[in-house]
Amino acid sequence: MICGMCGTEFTEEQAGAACKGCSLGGCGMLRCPRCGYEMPKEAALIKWLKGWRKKEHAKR
Amino acid sequence: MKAPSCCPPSQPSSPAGTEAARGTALLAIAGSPNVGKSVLFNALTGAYATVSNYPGTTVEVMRGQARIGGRQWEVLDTPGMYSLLPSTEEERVSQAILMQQRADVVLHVVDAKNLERMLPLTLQLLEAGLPVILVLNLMDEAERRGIQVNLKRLEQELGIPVVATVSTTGRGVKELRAAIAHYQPRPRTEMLTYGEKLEEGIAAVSELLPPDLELDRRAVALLLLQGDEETAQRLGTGAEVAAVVAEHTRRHAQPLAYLVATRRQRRASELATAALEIPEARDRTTQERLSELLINPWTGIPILALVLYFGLYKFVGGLGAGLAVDLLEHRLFMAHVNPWIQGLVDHNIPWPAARSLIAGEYGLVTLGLRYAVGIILPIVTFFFLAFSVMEDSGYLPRLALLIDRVFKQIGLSGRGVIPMVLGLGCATMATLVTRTLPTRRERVIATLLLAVAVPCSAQMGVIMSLLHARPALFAIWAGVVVLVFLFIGFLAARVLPGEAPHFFMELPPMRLPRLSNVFMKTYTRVEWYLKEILPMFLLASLLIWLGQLTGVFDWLVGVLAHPVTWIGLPPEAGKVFLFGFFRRDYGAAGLYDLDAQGLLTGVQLVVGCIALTLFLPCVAQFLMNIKERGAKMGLAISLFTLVFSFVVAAAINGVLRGLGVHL
Repeated sequence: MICGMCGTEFTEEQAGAACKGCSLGGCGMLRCPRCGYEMPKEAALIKWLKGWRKKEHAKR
Repeated sequence: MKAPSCCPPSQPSSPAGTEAARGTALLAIAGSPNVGKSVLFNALTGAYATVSNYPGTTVEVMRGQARIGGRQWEVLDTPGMYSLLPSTEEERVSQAILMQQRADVVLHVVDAKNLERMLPLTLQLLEAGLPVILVLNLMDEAERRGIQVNLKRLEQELGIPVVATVSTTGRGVKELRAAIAHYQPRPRTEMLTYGEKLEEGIAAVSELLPPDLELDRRAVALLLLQGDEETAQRLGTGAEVAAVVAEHTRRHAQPLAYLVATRRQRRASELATAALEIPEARDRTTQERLSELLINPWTGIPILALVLYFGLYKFVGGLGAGLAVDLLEHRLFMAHVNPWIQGLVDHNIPWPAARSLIAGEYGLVTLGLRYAVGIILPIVTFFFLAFSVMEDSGYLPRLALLIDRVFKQIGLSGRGVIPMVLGLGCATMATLVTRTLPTRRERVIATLLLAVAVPCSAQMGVIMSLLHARPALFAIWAGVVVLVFLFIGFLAARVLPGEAPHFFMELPPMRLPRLSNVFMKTYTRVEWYLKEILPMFLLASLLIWLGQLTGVFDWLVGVLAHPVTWIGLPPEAGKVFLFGFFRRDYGAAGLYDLDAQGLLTGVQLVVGCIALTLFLPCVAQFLMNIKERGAKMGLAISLFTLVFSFVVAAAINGVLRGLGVHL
C-alpha cells in the first residue's frame, strides 16, 4: 500500500501498529505510519481480482 | 541474489560485542527505503545472502559475508528507516540492530539527490556514537540534475568519511571498500545542542541511566525524552526516568520529538547549503517543473482554483450531483422504485404503521435507501474519482506545501492539510486524525475548523447539485464558507497562545495516475462509504418513524422551526437540521428534497446551504470532539458552532434581503 499523501509504502500490519492507542477500532481505515494520512482498507473484491490476475499471470 | 535461509529465525548471528567476541567484523548498512541499500549490499557481499526474520518479528533482515581489506566482515542490510526514533516495525528492528549489535562500521546510504532530507538520520546516527561512513548513492542521478557535492567539505563538517557511489554500476564501490578497510574512529566533531531547557532534560535523564550502559548516554536520553518506548523497555528504565521525562515534556509547549527533529533538520539544511552546489538553471524534468508550479503560490493558487473548478464544481457538481443524481434519484427511485415499493406494501401489508416504516414519507426504502443510493452514492463516487486522481498524481503533498503559508496564519501548518482533506471524506475520522498534529494548539484549532467550516464530500456534493445551475448562489456559499474558515482560524490562532508551527515534508515524485489504480481506489472508498452510511441512513429512517409514532419527531421539528424562521427559512426546514445533526449528508439530502418541492427561494436556498454547512457537526463528530478534546472543550466547540452557524446565516439573510437581492 502506498500512502496518498507522503508516498510511503507500508503493509496492513504496519498500518495496524500506527493505530495503536486508538480505542475506537473497526473504522475500516489504514493509517500511514509516517504521516498519519488514512485510507480505507482494500476492498475484498479488489483483493480477489488482484489474486486472480496474479494466478493467471503465473499460469502463462 | 538472495538465497532463502535454511535456518530458523535466530538471534542476530553475532552477539552484541566486539569483533574479538564475534570472530568477524560487523558492517551494518542503514538508510531510508529506495536508496539502493540492497544493491550496495550485493556489490559488497557478492552473490549469496541469507534472509531471515528478525527474532519476534516478520521483518526480514539480509546477511552476507565480505572480504574487505584482508578482514572477514559480516554484512547486515537493515530494513528501511527514516529515523532512529522508530514508528514502524522495520524501524524498530533497524534501531535494535544498530543500538545492540555494535557494528564496527555503519554505512549510512543516502540518495545524493535528496541529501538535505536524508542528513537528519546521519546526525542521529552520529549522536548515537555509531562509527558511520556516509555513502552518497545514486550519484549519477544527482549529477544528471547538475548537483555537485563537495565531499571534502561534508567530511570536514561531519567528521566522518564520505564516499560517492553508483551502486548499480559499481562506481565508487572500490573507494567505499577502501574507506571501510581503513576506517578509524575519529573524535566527534558534529555535536548538536538543543537549547538550554532541553539540554537540562538530556542531562537529567542521562544521570539516571545505568552506569554500565554500553550505548551513548546522550543518544539514549534523547530517545527516552522523545517517548521511545522500545528503548525504555529494552533498557528497563524505571519509574524515576519516566517521571523525569514526563516533567521535562511538560516544560515544553511542543512535543520534544518535534523540537528535536526541527533542530536536526535545521542543521541538515546548513550542511547541505555548505556542501551542495545546485545550479540555478539546469535541465529539469517535466515532473519537476510541474511540481514547482504547484508549490509556487503565484502559479499554485490559480492551479488550485482550476482543480477546484473542474475537479469539484464541474466534475462532482455537474456530472455527479447533476447528471448521475438525476438518473438514479429521479429516473430510478422516484419514477420506478418508490411507486413500486409503495404499491407492493399497500397491497400486501395491512398495518399502516408497518407500511409507513417501509414506504412512508420517511420510510426505510423511500427515504433511507433513496438518500443513500439515489443521492449520496453518485456524488461520493464522482468525488472519490476526482480525489483518487489527485492522490495518485502526487498533488496532495504539494497542496500541503502550497497552503502551508496560509495555514500558518491560522495557527496550523501544511501538516494540517491531512485532517482537513480527510474531513472532506468524514469529519469524525478527521477529528481523530488531528492527533497527528504536533501541538495541542494545532489540534484544538483543527478540531474547531473541522466542526465549523469543513463540509463532508457528500454534503458538499449535494450542495453543489443544488447550486450548480445558479453560479451566483454557489459563489456566495463558497465565499462565505472560505471566509468563515479563515476568520475562525485566524481568530483561534490569536486567542490560543503558541508559536507558529514548522512543517517539513518529503515530496514523493509526481506521476501520471494509472486508470486501473484510480478505479480500484474509488471502488474501495465507495464500498467503505456505503458500508458506513447505509446502516446509518436506515437507522435514521427507523428513528424518525419511531419519533413520528410517539410525536417526538414533530415536537423537535416544531422547536427547530423557531431558529429556522429567524434565518428566513420556511418552518419545514427544521427537519433538515434535525437530519443534519444525525448525519451531515442526510441533512443535505433533506435540503435537496425541500428544494425539489419548490419550497425555497434562491436567497433561502443559499442561506440554508450556509447554515447547514456551518451547523453543529453530526452526532458522531460531536461525541468525537468530546472524546478527543475533553468534555469542556468539546462542548464549547459544539455550542459555539451551533450559535455561530445561525448568526452567520441570519447575517447573510439580512444582508441579501436588505440589499433587495433576488436570486
